[in-house]
Amino acid sequence: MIGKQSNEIILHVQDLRTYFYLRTGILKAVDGVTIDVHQREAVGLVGESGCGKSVTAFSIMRLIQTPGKIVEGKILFKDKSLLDLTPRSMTQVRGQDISMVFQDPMTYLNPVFTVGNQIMETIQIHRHTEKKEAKEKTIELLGSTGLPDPEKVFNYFPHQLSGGMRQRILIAMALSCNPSLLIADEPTTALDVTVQAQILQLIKETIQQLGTSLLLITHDLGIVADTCDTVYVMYAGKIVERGTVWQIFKHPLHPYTSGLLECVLSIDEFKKEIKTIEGNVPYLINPPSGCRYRTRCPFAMEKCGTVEPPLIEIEDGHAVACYLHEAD
Amino acid sequence: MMGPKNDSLASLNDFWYRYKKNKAAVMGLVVGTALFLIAILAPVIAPFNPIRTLVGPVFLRPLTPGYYLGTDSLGRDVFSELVYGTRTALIVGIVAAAIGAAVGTVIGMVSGFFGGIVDDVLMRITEMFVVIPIFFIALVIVSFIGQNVNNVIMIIGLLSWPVVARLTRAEFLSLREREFVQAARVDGASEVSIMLREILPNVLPIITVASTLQISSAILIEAGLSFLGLGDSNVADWGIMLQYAQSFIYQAPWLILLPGIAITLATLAFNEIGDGLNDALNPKLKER
Amino acid sequence: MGFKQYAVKRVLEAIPAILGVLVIGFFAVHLTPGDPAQYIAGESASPDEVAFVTENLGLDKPLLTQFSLYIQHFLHGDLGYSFVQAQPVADLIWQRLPNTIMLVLCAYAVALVFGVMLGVLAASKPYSTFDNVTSILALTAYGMPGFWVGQLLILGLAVYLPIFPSNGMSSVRSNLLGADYVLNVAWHLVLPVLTLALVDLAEQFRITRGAMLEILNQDFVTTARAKGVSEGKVLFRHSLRNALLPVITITGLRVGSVFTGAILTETVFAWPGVGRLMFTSVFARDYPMILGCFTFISVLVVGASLVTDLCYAYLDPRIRY
Repeated sequence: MIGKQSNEIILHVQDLRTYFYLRTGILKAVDGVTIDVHQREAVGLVGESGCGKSVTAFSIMRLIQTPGKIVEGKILFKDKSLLDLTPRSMTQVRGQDISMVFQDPMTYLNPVFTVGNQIMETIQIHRHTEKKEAKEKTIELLGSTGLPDPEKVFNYFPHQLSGGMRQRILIAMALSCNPSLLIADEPTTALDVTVQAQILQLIKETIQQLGTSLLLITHDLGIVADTCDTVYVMYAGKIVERGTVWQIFKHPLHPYTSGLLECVLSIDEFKKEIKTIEGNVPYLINPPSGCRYRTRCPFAMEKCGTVEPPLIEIEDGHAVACYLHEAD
Repeated sequence: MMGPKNDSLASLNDFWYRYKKNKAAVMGLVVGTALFLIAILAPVIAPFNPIRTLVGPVFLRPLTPGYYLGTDSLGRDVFSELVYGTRTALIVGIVAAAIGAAVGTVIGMVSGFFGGIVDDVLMRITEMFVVIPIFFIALVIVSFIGQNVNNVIMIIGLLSWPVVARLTRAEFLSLREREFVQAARVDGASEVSIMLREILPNVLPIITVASTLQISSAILIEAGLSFLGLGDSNVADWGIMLQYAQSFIYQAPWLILLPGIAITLATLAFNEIGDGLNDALNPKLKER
Repeated sequence: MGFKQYAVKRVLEAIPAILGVLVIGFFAVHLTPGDPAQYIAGESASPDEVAFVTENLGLDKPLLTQFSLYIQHFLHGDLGYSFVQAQPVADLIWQRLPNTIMLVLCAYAVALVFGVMLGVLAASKPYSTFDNVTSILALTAYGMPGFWVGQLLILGLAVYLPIFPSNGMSSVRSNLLGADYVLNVAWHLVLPVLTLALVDLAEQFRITRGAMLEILNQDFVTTARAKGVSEGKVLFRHSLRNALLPVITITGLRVGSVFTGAILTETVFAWPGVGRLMFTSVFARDYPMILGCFTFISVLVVGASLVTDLCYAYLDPRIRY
């Protein structure tokens, strides 16, 4: 729980659709996603691999490359439409207003430049500071992310550092210009369990300090519980449930959400039988008609196969897309 | 039940299916076949003896009736020269590549088989050839041993072994410890027979591809040699045509264009065929 | 392995190559049909002349002695004597060498710079029109004989559009001095450099494009973009640095082909370098000269290759293993 969030929305994603035009067909990776991030809010975007969460993040940053394309939707950052910006203006937004931290710090850092250099570059691009000043700021940043001996680390190459240290570098890089929004795509998945907690702690503390909003993308509900205020549950390219962390964990409405929670809890509580959700994520080139979850849903009704259930708000701030819960 | 005959037919179909996918390779095959036909049918197609001078007035322009592509500075028929030149190019290219492949395979296998000093020495020699181009060495040797077609073919062929030798050796070393080879050993087969029966057939696809590319290379080398005057003066040849043409570049510019186009077509055709063969024979190696 | 050790190792490795060159040269002489002396002196030579050649080249001594004499001469820088031009081969080569070096270095530079640049641009928009066109052009360039390209350039840019001179290194009749002379030579240099650079350029293009395509798929490129780095910098600063290694490796391997390509190019353009010397000696059946040029150029190529290898090893410690 991060703390006081204002009601000001800094990121408004509406009905986003990102499709990939492959030889085999059109892959509808993100098919009508609506997300709101408020100032100082930590939002979690949860789902299995392949559900489209990373594609959503990349779409927001407009980092989608052919054969992918943002087909429809609005992305408003502080009332500025990101999709209408020229490519050049967008490069100014990236790294400065919205930053991103990625999953695997080894592959996401350039092997031929020192880590200090890579962080410094962000500062120099956006703040146009002198080299000396930028270097000082970088060393300061390195220190604040908990790296020992920041002056020495400045001159290290990525391969000389451990996974946890590299992730701190990526975080430092992302936060160097004080962005209003930090998007973290599975930031701890590639790290050792012991390091995971440290990194999460670092993220939490820093964004609280700087007042940054967070969009955390992960498949790990545990992390969400620990870090986020609001949760969006995503399945097969669509948002199936939205609510506060409390609402989602205490009374999940969508069968998928409850299914996920059961899986996690069955592992955590050392239950005899580890629960799984039967079936597989549908192939997104020809998704099933109606509700996409119905092939795996134990409560599937005939209605579910016809038209997609819309996302309806059931209680204050808690919305779900499921025919089990129709607004009265 | 699939008998052996059906099997080979099926794999031929597979092969052709994969080859067909590479459109450029199909084009190459078409051009290559056309060149073949031209070479074989040369006496039929060509109206004149290519090296005979003054079959007509000098510097006749192309499309003059009777002399399809005109004549050169000494009155030789350009069309006939080009047609017979195809023979020279193809013969030199294919035979030299074949010699290179044969010698290279043997050396590669020997090198891989014996290892140790033999391997070291042979590989050192190969390295020298990597740094000093074949063309250059061929130039010197041909000028000493005499310039005729046979010498040129032999020299280019003998100098082409390094590429194939390296490939063969590499494949040999990698296949040597594979399961099917171990199985053969357990069965009691001698090392030599293993080499010939088990390993060689697996190396053949790679050698074939490399040799096809050597054909292009040989054609270019031969053209260069004859351009410098080291070709056989008794055969029609594209390279020497270009040498003559340059002196008369003002009077007869077309003399420069035609032989060059011929050389380029032939080289590209075999390059593409080699590429297509690679896709067809080594489908696993293709990255996408 | 330390750099010094690596350097010694490479130099030692170069020695068998040079030895190989000497062996080839030596045996070339002895592969002539009939008596080498007769061959060298020419068909119309008198018996006295033949005897002179035999004596001079030591062709009547036992093979092993001949070979050791040959090596000794080589080590003293004596590359033989040209009967045709009545001068020591080494002198003739030294006179022409600067011209060839100039041509080769310029061609090398042009091929590297433009090949890499075009490769980067093609990789930045794969399968676009630009990429397809340049890739096809590069492919065609492989098929074209280098000397023919030169002839085409002459046809196009010296005959039809008389922009450049069609041969020579400088305009013979004018008496130009200083800067004017330099400009004149530069003007003569354009077509030969383009010709010599072409195949090399195609190769650099292909290698760069391939390496860049791989690099551009890497995750750290995404990070750079996410940081807000402009696309140009992403290409040329972040990606190219990583892609350069294969490019540089190829550059080293191309030394030999560029030098021998110079033989053909100099012939086409009558450029007064060592390559042309080689051609004229072939033409004139000047065997000692052919041999001398061969030995010299080969050693030069081996040496240049060695030097480039050492440079890379110095710059990138990973190569030393």
